[in-house]
Amino acid sequence: MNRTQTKGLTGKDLMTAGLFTAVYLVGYVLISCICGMVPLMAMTMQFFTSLILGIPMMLYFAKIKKFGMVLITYTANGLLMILLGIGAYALVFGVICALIAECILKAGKYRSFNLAVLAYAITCIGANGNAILWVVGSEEYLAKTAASMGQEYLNTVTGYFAHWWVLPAVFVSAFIGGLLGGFIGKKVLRKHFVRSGIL
Amino acid sequence: METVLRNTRPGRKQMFLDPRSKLMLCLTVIIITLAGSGTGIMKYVRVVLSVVPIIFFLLLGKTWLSAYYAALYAFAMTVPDLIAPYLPPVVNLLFTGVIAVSTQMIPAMSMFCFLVITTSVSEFIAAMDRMHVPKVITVPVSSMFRFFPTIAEESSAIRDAMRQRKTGSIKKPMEMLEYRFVPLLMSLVSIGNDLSASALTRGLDAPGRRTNVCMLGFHWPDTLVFVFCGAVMVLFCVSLIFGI
Repeated sequence: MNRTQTKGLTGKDLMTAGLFTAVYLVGYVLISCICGMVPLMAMTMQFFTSLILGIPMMLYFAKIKKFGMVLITYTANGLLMILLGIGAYALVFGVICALIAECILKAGKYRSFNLAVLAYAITCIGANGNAILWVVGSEEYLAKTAASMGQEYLNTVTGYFAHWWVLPAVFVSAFIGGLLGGFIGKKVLRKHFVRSGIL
Repeated sequence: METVLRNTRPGRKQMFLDPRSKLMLCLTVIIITLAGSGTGIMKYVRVVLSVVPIIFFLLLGKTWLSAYYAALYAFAMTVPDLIAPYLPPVVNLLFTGVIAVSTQMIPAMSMFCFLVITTSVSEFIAAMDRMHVPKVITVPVSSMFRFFPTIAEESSAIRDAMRQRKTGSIKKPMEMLEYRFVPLLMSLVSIGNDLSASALTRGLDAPGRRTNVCMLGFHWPDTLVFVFCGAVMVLFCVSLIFGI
């Protein structure tokens, strides 16, 4: 089907966006459940989701030929995150990062693979915006319990939050995971999808 | 025809509610549980709101689901508070944030579950159309919901096939990615192509508004829901401004 000449998004494009958003969301929830079970892993969750979801998302990004589809995916993703009660940050950051990603894809005329990997890594940062909630939520909760536990306890706790780098580190790990995942996705794409004629 | 459509109401399957009022209820619960500070009067409001999903699940006849939800919520509300003072701060730092945030999520997730159970895709699109939400949002979202069961189905079929060949188990992550994830994507992409072809022949791309026979419209149960949501929001604002 050669419909790349048409300007706006067609129904087919919208259906494709829905399909890959569904895959993305299911993958995201599953991987974060697996990582979330082990407490130390919870902070590496962003890295692993970005890494593994690189495969479907690179397939998606390779199919994209028009402006707007990345934006739709991350808007729908963010809206669903709100409806699931996980938090609103994924919508705000997701939309901003998706816009940047759209511009990057457009700059490569939707052909350049390396730029697609870069665009995917940037959207990863946005999609993991809810990580803010984990850090802030933990702080709030501990502050609440500290109120009943006395000053000494409070000092110990606030000591841990002197590590200001935790939040940036989470986002950087998402970005690196996105880059790695993108390159793995590219390899898988070459090995499986192009050969079987899906792309 | 016009009068028939005007006279029909949302039935028992839709919980006698319009999708829009269900969405409103869902959003209210989410805003309160996520943004509410949980102090003063909001403490009680929050408890009331967390009872709402139980009532709806019971009305739907899903006794086990409501019992499960109630037990989970009670556990998440009490146990961390009891245990936290006795644990070292490191453990608290790792665990409590996760637990605190998950506790907030439980009522909101249940409300969302309720919304999905009682609303068909057609009703959802019709309601969104009445609210003038553009097609670029409704079509991807509804096709997304169409795909969730398909993903589960295809994934279990592929798991069975790969188990027979003794490969792609979770013990070898790279193999699992290659022999379970990639085939899943392939079959999903081809299913997606078929589906979009079938949707196009049924006029997805057609200009003009989509028509439907869904029973939409506000009746007295919707009024109740809106009064309830309004009351909760007013309480929320009052507690924010006056700090009670």
